[in-house]
Amino acid sequence: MRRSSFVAPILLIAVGALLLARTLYPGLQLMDYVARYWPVILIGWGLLRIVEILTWSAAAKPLPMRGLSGGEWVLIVFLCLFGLSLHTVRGVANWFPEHIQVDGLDFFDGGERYEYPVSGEKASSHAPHVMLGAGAVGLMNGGAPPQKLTSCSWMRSLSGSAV
Amino acid sequence: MNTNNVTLWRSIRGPVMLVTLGTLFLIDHSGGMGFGRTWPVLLIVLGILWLGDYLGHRKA
Repeated sequence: MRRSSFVAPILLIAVGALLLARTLYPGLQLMDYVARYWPVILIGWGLLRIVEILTWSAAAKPLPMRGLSGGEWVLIVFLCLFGLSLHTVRGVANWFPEHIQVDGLDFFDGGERYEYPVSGEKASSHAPHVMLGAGAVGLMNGGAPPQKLTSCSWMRSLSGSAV
Repeated sequence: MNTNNVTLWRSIRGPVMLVTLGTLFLIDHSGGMGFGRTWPVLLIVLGILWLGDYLGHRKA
């Protein structure tokens, strides 16, 4: 008879509780927590399995040849890939290199970063007019000073000089 | 498959490796030493578990 394990149901309950917390509290930054603390799942999984095996050993039951099956290892690999990807995407990774260069080609970075100022100016019309926006109405006064916009943007260049 | 001769060391090898892996990733994500520097701990833990398995078989 195949021996059942209580690790999988407990992990399923934990995942369900996390998703339920997300639906009940939409403001909860769940993905940030998952991106930072996903290795706790591995630790909990391993500890639960150790407790399970020690229980079998104390009850003089035959022990499994492998503490974790092949399918579980595959699931662990996928979990690690997901966790590391999420950790990198959320911007909290400190291991991912900024530059990976092979024969002068820069991978994962796309060249050097150059910042340049952006500015614009638009003259106001002399006649007063009404502006309709999304859910708001505004009255623009005529003869107002021209509107100026200054900002900063950036681009990447492979050739080593910004165009 | 005869599982009666399996030692406890061999059975807990996978789960202990999993706990070690998770701990190293957690240290990395918490701003401690990076996984790139701590991964040899996995080899050390695996060696200890293999050694325990070997000694367990010798006792039996």
